[in-house]
Amino acid sequence: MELTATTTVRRPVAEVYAFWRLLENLPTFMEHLDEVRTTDEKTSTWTASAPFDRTVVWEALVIEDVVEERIAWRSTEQADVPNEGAVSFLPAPAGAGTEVHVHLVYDVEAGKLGKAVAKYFGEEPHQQLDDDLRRLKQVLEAGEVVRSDGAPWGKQARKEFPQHPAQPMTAEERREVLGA
Amino acid sequence: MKAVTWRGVNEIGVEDVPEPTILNDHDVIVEVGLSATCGSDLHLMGGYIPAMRGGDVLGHEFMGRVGEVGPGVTKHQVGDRVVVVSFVGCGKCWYCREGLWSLCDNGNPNPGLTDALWGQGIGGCYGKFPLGAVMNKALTLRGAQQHGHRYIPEILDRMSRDEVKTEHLATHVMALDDGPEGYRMFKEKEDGCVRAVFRPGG
Ligand SMILES: [Zn+2]
Ligand SMILES: [Zn+2]
Repeated sequence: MELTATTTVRRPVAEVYAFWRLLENLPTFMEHLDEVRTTDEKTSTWTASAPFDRTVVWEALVIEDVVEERIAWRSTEQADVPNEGAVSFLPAPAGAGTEVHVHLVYDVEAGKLGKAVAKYFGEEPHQQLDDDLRRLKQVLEAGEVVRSDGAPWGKQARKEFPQHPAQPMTAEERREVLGA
Repeated sequence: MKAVTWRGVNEIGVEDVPEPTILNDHDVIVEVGLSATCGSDLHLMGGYIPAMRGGDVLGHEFMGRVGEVGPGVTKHQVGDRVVVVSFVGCGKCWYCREGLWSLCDNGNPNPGLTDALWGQGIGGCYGKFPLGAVMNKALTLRGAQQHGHRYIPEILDRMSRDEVKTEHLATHVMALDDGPEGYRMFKEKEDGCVRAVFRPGG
């Protein structure tokens, strides 16, 4: 399964590149990621929620790192769902910031979990990556992923269908949604 | 807090709803001093918006006093008097910086649906009222380029110099408890009602 998506972030290339290069930042805007922990300059451990309340952990390797231009990574041999990704940063026209081009590949043919993952992504697998990039833009431009009483889930965009009507949340709903 | 709510098709009530809370670091909570009816409320009242649910709060154009600020807020503090436009812009994206607030890239917390429908999320809609209304409004505003934020400072300035009068707009000022009556008069244009304006304090 191959996914591509693009967004324009109104911040300098250096800043957008630096934000992405700190792989720990990825879960702030990528819905399926729970955590990324870097182990050294090139290697990192990724934790993701998988379908049926399962958690998947894999090791990834940065295979290309061109400062302020491009970062590419791939999972190492033991990954349940082999995957790789690359992101390119291009100066947007007229000084409008940075174009972010993302390309992800998941090998969903490999094994049972891969098939479950494919199903999880559903018929619109691009939507999730589009939403991820929109949140990247929100974080870098506005400083946070926006929530409202109508759509309080922040990163978990999929829960936003259908949107809750215009009612302030009760204390109980708030606890359920925000876990606080 | 007390609020005017939608209860069903053309059925408006006044009831107690949960107090709002700060969700984003950049949120503020405004204690509403005056709130106006708006033409788009008529779509909501008439039940043309499938996402409406009994108890939804009406009113999205208001002014008041800042009662609480989130940890990321630097521009406002408790006690500030503010005017709130129905569209919330982030203030940081290209559109907001150009004064095109209703096209904000980041203000919509739920853009996925129109993204799928139209190939583009709608701008500047904060989702404080139901999605259907947001869609309606975005269509209107994108066409009309109505970027309210841009003109408010000038309008307030002119009002303070008595150069702009609003009596012909705020034709019916009444207590929030009279919300159902106000909305009915607004809908029927009864007694020359252009806008009903509600005052929570009575
Ligand atoms: Zn309005
Ligand atoms: Zn904006």
